Amino acid sequence: MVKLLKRRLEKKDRKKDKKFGIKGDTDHLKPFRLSEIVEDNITRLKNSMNNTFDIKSREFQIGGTKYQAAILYIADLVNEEMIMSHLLKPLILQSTAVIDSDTEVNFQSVKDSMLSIGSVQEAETFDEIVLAVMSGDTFLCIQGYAKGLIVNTRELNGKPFAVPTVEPSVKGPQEAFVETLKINLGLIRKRIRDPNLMLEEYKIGRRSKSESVLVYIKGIADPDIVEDLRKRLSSVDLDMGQSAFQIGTLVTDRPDSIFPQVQITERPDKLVVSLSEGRVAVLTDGSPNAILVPVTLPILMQSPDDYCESWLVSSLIRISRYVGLFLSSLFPAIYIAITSYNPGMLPTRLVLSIASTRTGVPFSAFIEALLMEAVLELLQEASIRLPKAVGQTVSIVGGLVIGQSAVQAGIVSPIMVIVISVTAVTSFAIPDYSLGLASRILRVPFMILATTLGSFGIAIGMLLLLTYLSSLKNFGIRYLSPITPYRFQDWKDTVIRAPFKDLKKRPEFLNPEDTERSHSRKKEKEIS
Amino acid sequence: MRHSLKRSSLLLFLIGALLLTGCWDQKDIDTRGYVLGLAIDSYPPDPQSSESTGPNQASPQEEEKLEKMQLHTGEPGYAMTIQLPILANADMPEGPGIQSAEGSQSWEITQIGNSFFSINREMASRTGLSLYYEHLQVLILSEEVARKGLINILDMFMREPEMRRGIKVLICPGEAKSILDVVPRIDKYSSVYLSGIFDNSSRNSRMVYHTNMGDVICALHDGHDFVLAKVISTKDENKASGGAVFHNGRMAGWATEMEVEAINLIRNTYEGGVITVDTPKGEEGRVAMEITNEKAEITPIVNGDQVSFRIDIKVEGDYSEDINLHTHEKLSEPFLKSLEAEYEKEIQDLCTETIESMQEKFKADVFQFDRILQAGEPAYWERMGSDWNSIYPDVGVTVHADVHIILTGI
Repeated sequence: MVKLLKRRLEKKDRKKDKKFGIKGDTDHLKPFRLSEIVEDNITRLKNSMNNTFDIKSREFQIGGTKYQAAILYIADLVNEEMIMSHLLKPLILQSTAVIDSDTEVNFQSVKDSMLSIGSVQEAETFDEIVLAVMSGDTFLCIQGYAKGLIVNTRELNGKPFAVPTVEPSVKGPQEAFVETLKINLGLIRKRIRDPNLMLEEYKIGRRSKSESVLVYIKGIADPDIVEDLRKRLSSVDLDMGQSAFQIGTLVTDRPDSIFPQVQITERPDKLVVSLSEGRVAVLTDGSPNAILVPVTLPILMQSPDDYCESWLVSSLIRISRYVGLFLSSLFPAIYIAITSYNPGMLPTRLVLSIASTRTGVPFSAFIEALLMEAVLELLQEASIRLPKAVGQTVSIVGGLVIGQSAVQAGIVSPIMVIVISVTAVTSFAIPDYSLGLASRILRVPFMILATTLGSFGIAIGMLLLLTYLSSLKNFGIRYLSPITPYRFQDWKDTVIRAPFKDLKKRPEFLNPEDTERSHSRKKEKEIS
Repeated sequence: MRHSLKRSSLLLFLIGALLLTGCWDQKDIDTRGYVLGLAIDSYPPDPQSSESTGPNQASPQEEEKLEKMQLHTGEPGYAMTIQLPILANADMPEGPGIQSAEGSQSWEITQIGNSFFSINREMASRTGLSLYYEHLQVLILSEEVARKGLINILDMFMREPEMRRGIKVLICPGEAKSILDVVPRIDKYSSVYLSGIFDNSSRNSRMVYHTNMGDVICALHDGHDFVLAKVISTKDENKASGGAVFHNGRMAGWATEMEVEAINLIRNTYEGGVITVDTPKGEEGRVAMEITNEKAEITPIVNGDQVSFRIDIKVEGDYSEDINLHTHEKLSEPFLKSLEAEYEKEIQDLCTETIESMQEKFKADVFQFDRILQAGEPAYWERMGSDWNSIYPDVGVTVHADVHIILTGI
């Protein structure tokens, strides 16, 4: 207890110190100017961009002269081929031709006659340079000049992006991660031009040596979480580090839980918003998914579409999603409990119509539900396995043959078909696939409880489930926060989604270092 | 290791205990018998009303064998009939236009005995379903049973946890079973149809709406008099018509529909209805007013040992219809004023007549003046309360009505 309190206090102190320390934008780099020494410039620039591994620099001598020069760029964002052929090649190899023609080699002549690239700009202060490099330009500086050149080397044409298939959205961007780490990092860099975006590289897998990258924003993410994840990542001992999920299970406390302990996403936009909330991501080469920690149940219930509609609309949709989560694990259980223990709770006409549809059905409600549930699970599994061309068969066989014929044959009652269908539909409304799986797994235990103990059993099951959920923790964050370690401030973006003007603070439960999203109304801007 | 073994065995024990103690009252929804209506007649039947038994009694002797049960003690006094829906005959929606329903929709089982609880359990030997009373809609008592007193027979209905307070208690002249035998045109089950009639309270005020089991039990225990709904039937129709007046827990007689309307007006249970008057002198028309708002205030006036009541009835209503009215001044202020006066007179007359008839014929305080005295004049009630039954028939009551026509509809 005392320890906890101490930690809290320390954190508060730190927050106070850092309040004006780290800023997200590049404005604070304005007072820094270039010096005349190339190495010095490159080191300082790299430092101001936190030395992430994808910042590349190359020092060289301009062909045939003693002029020292260097370029600096971010590998994920630039067209490297362009740099090779239009920047390095002319400067290193072809510049001799220029020099031969008696032109004096100086800053101006490099700018005017050595670069075969359309857009070249002069720059002196760090803020312009950093912003340009972060946007995919290349910075070139020459010994003896306190100014440099910003050369446009942005990768403009579309890369072979994938379209999100597991987490589709209506209005959100239609971009997904691919199997190549570099492209994925580019997708993130493209969205955050913050010099504080930190990328740390890990080689995971004794044999595969897969590259994994820890991504977070310095100054937002809780350093404790980052440190914790760093430790866990470096202690991962694997033969082959292949999937994001595999690494995810290795870095969590409760890998056995049916509830997802890491969020797996294929959406760069989701990842970027999560980073800006103070979460930490891990990308792995060869996997089109990124893992995000820490994760909580309310986070898993959010969808990118929530931020593309009016707050009233998206709040209603989100509430209906919660209803879906509830029904998808409980609806068959509630049906069994009410019909076989408390038919008095239903309106008379409903009781009579349910009872009359059930006459002649040979099984009890529980067996009936179990049968249909098994069929449903098999159908879902089968429809994933089947190639798309044959997929139609499953829906016809499943929908018509099993649904209708089973009812006509008197094996199941039509009302049970309705119950199971509603359950199936509701489970698809859960935005996170893994959470949907968890809710499906919970169905059967709840059905057993309902058939043995009725509504009382459901209440017991619900209590156990809630106890379990609130005891779950990952990276020090409770699984049900901000609902149950009560933080009212964060409820604005939990079950409802408050208007953006009220969402000026980052979620408090994630312990962000910089708590403010926007300081004034004018600057307010939201990324979906 | 040992620790975790201990823990898991404890967990296993807990889960086992939970699951093994379960299931004891589980019953699939289609294996219960949903008793929708319940009728109580006296046995042996009145020679007069026995003639009115339905024609579909094929072999009365056979039936009687089943209906009689062995008794531990005494002679059979009551015949209880329950209505069970025949679920197999309920038409399932199998396709547009296809009606699979054949045969009767409900089964009326009669059992004769002298305690309702034993009758109830005896029925288990005839149904194959476990009887379930939470969906009971109506309890119908025959006049004969009601005249013997309600408190004798309602005990099971108060004790049994499956009995709801919302069950409608209805009184029927003649045989109560005949009400359940009705095959209604618009519903499958006569009990459901019958209880639906009482949802029309905002349309018609000539029925008794406060006829629930809960109300009856409260009134019985507090010693108040009350009115229950009277119901009559033909082969395929029921009608709630007037009320049965209860005095000291026994039925004292019938109240007409108009009297029920007046009782509703005075007891503030009027939710909407129509009153029609002839137009004031000069014209030969008739005007109907729909009452939308009604409020009666009863003030006890105590003068020594004398008590009298003043009832102020405030009524708001809409001009709904006129018939045979040939005047161009329908909307003129004086005309409406004189119309309002007619209504006031009509309401006053109706109420005064009803009060007199209740006082004289039945001596039944269905307006529950005693309750008002108890609350408003506790000192008087303290002194004279025990004699209320003898005081009541001679209590003077003045009725003042105040009618406002709000909307004229044109």
